[in-house]
Amino acid sequence: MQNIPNLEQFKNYNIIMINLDGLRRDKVELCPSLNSLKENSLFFSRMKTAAPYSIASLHSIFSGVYPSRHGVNGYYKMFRFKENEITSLAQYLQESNYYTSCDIINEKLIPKNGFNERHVFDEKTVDFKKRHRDMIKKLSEKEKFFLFLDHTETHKNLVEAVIQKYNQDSIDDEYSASQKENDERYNSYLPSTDEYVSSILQNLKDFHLDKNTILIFFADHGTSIGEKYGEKFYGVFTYEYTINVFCVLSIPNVPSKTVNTQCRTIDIFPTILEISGKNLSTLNNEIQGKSLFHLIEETDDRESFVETGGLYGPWPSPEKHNVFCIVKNNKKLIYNDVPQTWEFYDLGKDPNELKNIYDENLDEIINFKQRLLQHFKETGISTNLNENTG
Amino acid sequence: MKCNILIITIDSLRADKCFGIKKTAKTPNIDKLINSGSYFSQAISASDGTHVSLGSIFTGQHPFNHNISTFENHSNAKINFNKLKNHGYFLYATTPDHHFFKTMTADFHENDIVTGRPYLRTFEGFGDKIIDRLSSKKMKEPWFYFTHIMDLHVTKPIPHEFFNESIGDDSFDKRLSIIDIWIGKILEHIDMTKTLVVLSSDHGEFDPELDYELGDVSSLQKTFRGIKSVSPKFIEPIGTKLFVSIRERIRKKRLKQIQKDMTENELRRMTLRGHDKLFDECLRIPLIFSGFGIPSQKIISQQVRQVDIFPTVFEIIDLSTNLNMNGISLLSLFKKNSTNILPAYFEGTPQLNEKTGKSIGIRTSKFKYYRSRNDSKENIRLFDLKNDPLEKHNIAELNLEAVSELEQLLQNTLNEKYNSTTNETMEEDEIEKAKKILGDLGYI
Repeated sequence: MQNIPNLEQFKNYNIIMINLDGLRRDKVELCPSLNSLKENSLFFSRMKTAAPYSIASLHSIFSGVYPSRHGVNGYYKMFRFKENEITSLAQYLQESNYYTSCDIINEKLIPKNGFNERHVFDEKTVDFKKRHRDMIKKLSEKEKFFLFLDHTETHKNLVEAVIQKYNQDSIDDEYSASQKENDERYNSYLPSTDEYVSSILQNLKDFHLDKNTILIFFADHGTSIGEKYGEKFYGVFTYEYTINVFCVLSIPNVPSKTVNTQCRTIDIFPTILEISGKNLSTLNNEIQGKSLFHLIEETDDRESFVETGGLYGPWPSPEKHNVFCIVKNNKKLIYNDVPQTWEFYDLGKDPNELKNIYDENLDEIINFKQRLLQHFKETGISTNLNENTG
Repeated sequence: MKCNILIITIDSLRADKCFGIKKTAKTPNIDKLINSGSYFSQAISASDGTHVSLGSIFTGQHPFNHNISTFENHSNAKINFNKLKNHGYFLYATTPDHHFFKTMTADFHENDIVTGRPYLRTFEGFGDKIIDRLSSKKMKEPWFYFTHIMDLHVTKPIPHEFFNESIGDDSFDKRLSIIDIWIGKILEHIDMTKTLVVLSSDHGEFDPELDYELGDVSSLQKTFRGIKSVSPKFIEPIGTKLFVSIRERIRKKRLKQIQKDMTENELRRMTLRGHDKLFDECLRIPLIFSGFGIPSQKIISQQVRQVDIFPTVFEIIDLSTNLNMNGISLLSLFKKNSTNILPAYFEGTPQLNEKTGKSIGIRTSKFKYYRSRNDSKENIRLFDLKNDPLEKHNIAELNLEAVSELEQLLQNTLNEKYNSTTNETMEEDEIEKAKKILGDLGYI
């Protein structure tokens, strides 16, 4: 069994964290450079996002808590991050003497505090490879830095090909009926993303950062190719194609391992803090995530909760999340708050979530329900269910 | 210039033991601090329990907004510390080893958690820890430093070496005098020209004779410590709950025996906090502001509240106070007295296994009014503080008009709600701003 690496040795390493926005988990192996990197890194293959759209998801990654705890629990809630109550990842790292920088698609994408530099790119004109090479080169002169990069090539293509093409208000099944075409189109975006990954790896070598830089590639959420009627991109439901994501954690001289135990994107926050030398025991009451390093030795799935509220779809709710789920041990319970319906899937037998086997009298489902309701209580989530049951 | 901030809270220190004609303890250092600063002689605690009242100090919110209780929502006490950090402050603390303090100071730049059984008193090493921190030169300026002293709370007898006349008459006085010695040592390390010093307490206490033996619980403590040492950390609050429950049962039994032969005054002194007896002994607290920018030799008699402490500190350091606080800055009171009424909301501290205390109420300079939390007609108590300062006579039934007015005042206060945990309501302009960004991102 592989042991947890001694993290003390990494506390002066640089950290580059890159979001491959919307990259589906099942496409990682189709990207040669990313796949090769993953084979030589710690690869967390069954990671659940806290929310299947960028703004809520990334605020969770930067805070280590679920959206309803940090305040950005709706597309329209982008201004509600509780910055006076929650210390962000960048703030912690800045306090630990990292020079902190980011390049993002919009100011509201992540918590604003804690950055020495904040850059916002124009998605329509950006050349990610050149722009990010220049940034890394500049930062290579710093003693120790943290850099967050948002790579939105897939998002950009989706906006052009799907979001602006189809009438989002319509819940007709035109998109859903074209799954093969949607899949091929999505695959056509992959080479560009993979070239970007390759360029980042080259940059580290060129600027002599490859021996003292921790590189993290992850996806903040997945993307629909029409699997479920009513969802044309993401953010509407909590099915696997948008909530199952991944994380590649590349640390110089740490043996590779693919971790197939379920974890969460909220676990990235404590993982990075642990790398930086922060004592996590002082944070226990604040964050909901747990360091990923312990999964090297653990085999129990981490209970994962996901929440969202669509801009479109059958029951849009951009002001407040209204779809929730709990996933553990390949079983998933979904609660849709507006129609107040429940769904239960055995993901081992039914990975595409085609057969809803919800039965309120089954002990297993009762247990999942109790855990989800407990999570609502602990995270401060109000639903129609809470109001009805008091 | 941003001044340093030193906040000292002394657990269970009641106002009349710290300042005024009834004071008998010898506290030259606290006296000096008052003399060189300003003293609020009518400062009122938000509750008769530590968690709820300190929660009000650090959030600037009434208990029904911060929702901090003995075992829950401790992280809500952190709400203002990030604001201080964002304002450029470096945060430090030396506190007892207790889950409330550990949670509250978890995001401080450094926090010294001092372990002791049940808590270390100043002379047992806690004071040295404070001095170590202040003299270490490791605190970056501007700093915010908080410490909480438990000497008065600990019922263990103090050693005989301290039993001489120079440190006070009775047991409470002796304890306070020892604390005062340490206050003097602490202040030796403080540059008062660039440090704002706030000294107060969480709540008062009924019984000045702390040496009453309410039950030897050392074997019980030993058993629980054994269990704690082999148990996972998350069980600690449950274990604490159980321990306190059993200890209270033992003490109650012993208390009944002692009370058999007591006079009325002695019985009053034996009242236990947390049992719906919200008399001034447990609600009136000392409040001293001294040092940076604070006028000297000023005694302010207007009633003020714990929720006003942080707004005042924030105004002194030029940090916006429009930050979801119920309190107001007292800065103007340093310059001139005001006739504005600041009704002090208070509530009973929750008993074990309860999330909220039984009673809620309002204190003005004339009256104290409290009643059942859940029923405005139940357990009503009204005291005329001017003519009956010991609150011996409940005059509620004879003064229905006053009850009605105070109930209205209470209702007005209860309406000062901050929706800090749920933020569901959205204004149209916020939605439009969000839509604009989502449009730029291509979603709309």
